[in-house]
Amino acid sequence: MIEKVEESTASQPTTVPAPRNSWSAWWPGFQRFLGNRKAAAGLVIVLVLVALGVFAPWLTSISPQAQSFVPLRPPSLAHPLGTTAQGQDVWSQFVWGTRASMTVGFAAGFLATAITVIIGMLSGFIGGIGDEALQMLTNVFLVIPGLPLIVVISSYFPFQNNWPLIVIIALTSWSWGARVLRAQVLSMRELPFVEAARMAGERTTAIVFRELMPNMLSLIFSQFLFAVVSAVLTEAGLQFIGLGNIDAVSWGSMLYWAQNDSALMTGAWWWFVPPGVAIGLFGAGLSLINYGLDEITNPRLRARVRRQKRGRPA
Amino acid sequence: MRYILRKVLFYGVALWAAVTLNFVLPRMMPGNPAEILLARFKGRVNPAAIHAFLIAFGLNVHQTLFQQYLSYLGQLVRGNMGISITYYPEPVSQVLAQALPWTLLLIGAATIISFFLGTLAGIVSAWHRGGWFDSFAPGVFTLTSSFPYFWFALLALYFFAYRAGWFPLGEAYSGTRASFAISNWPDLMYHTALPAFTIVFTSIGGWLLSMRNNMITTMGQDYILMARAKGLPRRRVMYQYAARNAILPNMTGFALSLGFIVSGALLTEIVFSYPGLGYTLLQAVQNEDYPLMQGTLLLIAVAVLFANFVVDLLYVRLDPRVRNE
Amino acid sequence: MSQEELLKVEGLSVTYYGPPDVEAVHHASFDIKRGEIFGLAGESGCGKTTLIAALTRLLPDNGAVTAGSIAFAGADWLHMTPPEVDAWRWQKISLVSQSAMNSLNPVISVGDQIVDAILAHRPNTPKREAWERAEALLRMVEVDPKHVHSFAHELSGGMRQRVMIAMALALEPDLVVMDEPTTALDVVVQAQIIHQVRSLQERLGFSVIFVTHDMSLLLSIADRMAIMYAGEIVELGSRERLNRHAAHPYTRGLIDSFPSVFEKKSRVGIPGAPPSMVTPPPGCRFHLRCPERLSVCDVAVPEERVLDSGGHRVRCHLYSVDALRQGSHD
Repeated sequence: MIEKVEESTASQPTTVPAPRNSWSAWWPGFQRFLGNRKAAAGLVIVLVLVALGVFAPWLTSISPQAQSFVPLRPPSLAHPLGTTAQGQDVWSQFVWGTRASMTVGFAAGFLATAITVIIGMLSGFIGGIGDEALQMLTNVFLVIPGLPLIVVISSYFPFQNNWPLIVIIALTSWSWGARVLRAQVLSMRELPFVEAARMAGERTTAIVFRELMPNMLSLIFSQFLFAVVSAVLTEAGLQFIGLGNIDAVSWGSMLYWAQNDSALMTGAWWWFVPPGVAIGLFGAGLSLINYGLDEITNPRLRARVRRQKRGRPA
Repeated sequence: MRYILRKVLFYGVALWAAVTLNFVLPRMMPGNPAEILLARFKGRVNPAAIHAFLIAFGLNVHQTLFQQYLSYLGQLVRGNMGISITYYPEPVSQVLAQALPWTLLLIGAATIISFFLGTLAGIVSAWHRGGWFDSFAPGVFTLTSSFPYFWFALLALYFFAYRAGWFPLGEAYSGTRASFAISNWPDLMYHTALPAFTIVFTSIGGWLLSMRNNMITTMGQDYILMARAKGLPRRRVMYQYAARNAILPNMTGFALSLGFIVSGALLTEIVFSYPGLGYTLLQAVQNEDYPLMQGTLLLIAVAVLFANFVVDLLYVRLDPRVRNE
Repeated sequence: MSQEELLKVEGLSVTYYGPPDVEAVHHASFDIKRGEIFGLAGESGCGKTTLIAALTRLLPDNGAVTAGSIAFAGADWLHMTPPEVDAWRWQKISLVSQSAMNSLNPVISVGDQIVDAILAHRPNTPKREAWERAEALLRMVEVDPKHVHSFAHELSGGMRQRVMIAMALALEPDLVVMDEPTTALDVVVQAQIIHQVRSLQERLGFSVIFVTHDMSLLLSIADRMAIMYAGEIVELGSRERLNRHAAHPYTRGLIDSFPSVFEKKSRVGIPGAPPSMVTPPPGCRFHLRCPERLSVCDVAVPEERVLDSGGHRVRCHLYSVDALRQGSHD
């Protein structure tokens, strides 16, 4: 115990999670995660939004596309979020749009993270020329601005459904995470338990996936969350300028049509505000989870507990 | 100077990748690109222009792909990126030359301001950990940085320009002709202030939070303890020892997330009808103006690469360790 | 060597607030005379780093002195205000820490860091003079003065440690705290640096607190020394006394666990590990690992006994009259 305390006065390298050689140790970690205020708040926000999307069919019986109501009505009992200029029900659009945006966000985030993990881990572990090449690739993808590229691609290929969009967002957003993972692998490959596995003659892939992965789960998860946020933002931005599939209902297309029909200028805030706030809250929720994770793995970042010092100043 | 050489090599490869991507993209369109383009442009511009564009853009159907690539590169080196459909008969290069200064003014200035303010706020937040500023700033700016740039831009436009009338409703200058004359700067500032503010407001949180984390990590280092043991004034420890080291990773982060920020900021231009590259890109997309679209994409990529390169050079000045690499 | 007292620590206790709360130093008392090298030894985690942090008033935010006093150069050191402490730092007390690599700011030059300290305390010094002083200091520790313009990563480990020592002497302080200054170095460089410290100390007359876990090193350099175990000073005495008449079983264990150049003895070492400081063991804190444990050791906290007129004292039941009378070994 005392040894830990003394360490805090000296230098401390960036925390590396204690070696856990199996996948089953996640439960205590999850409990610690829930104990963190930021993480818990973020989780609640995200779960509420996810629930909106998942239970969309039960939350509204109105079709989000039906143009069968008096246009531009403010929120009322019949229409909790009012109606659009085309006479659609905003609440129904909102919950179905949540489902659509989440689908794209999580799918693209998942795909991007898969690429991140493969490239980042490989790059960090193989070293040498292969590492150089992968690093170059990663950095090129990192510095070339993603949105204009997606804009151009999607105007060449008008999308019939969300899948091409998901793939393109994933392809343009994996690079940051790959850099982070590579750095982490580099710092972990010298750790005793990895070295032991290498000396025991385990194959590289086995080491990467059996020894390193479980210890990097929280980092990978955090990259996943960032990828989801950025995918949701990218999709919204793309649809906002009228690209992608704007006839499908999503947060982005709601904003596109709201802007197209001057929702703000005509005072129809109930149409314009909900999707924007949802995107913001969703992003903030995921970021909070991330900061929570950060604080758990790196205790230095935790908010300081100001306690009264008994005794003398020193 | 191995570090600089490595960087030059990297940016060379990145530039080549961007240029090549630009060449490959239109050719991946389903069907024969030349015919599709011809069909699209028929009746909108005269045949001579179409021919000129096809030649200029290397879309010559009688050449092999490799020959096309070479002639594309050749045209590019001479600054020939074809003729814009939207602004026919203006060449793409000229349209871009008019748009670029606005983007540099708005996005360039806003990003630099955001980086400096955010970094400074991060330093203060970490140094006075648990103080009044630290207890609200990180939270507030986490929230603001989660919202889409364009959404905040629209709200700002509505409240501060439309309702309050403090700012113009868009565009970058009054009247019909842009002028960068000194006498015109108050007008330019008047138009740039609100869009710049929205970019700063939505991007500052990232710098604040990452700088705060870097500072906290740095403040645990032995050399900070040593500086305190030396009895140096607090300010000197804070800036010359802690912040001076903590800013290095933030600068790397700045360079690398530039692409991401520029992406968002381009949408801000669209909201404010600000005549920069983002707005030009939108025009090109809406008019199916492929030459202009390609040109804009390439220029944005090159601009971001260049900005990255500048940051890397600055980094060499700030971190003696890379000089001896 | 004058016997004037420079630093007097009395009953010092330091607690880190948790959870759980940990008392890392318990009731430590010792004094340091002007111009002597005072050694402080113990295994890692025994509280010596904490004791040093309290002495330099560099405890982390969650640590506080809960009892005791420190008189330093006649002043009540623990009750001085932070600005007063800052003014005294480096002028009166300076620090050479364990890892020179991490203790030098990596992005500003070595000279800048020396000049920094000079100008902070003597703001009227002309810049050129401060830089000349920095060069002179490097020369004094046998580092080429051209290295004032070097950065930490450009120097070897030994050179960095010399630079740190030069820096610590910049303002000719009364007391230099050396926290394991040679632990990270190889034996040859270690010997050179120890030799250097010794000769500089003889020449300039400052006092040194030399912290290490290496007893043989301490026995060759320190004038007097204190041995710490689990937050307590268990033995204190002069080099001569400890060399020949080390009293505490722990001290003897420490001495035996390092190879001696002169005697052919097998290294013995101490079995077991230091106890948890959250709930220190009852009685003598060492009893669980002690080879000479008495029954009284499990229950009664040993009082400190003075063994000779030179101030050799020990905290062990073996030297208490009552325990000897009981005499029953476990």
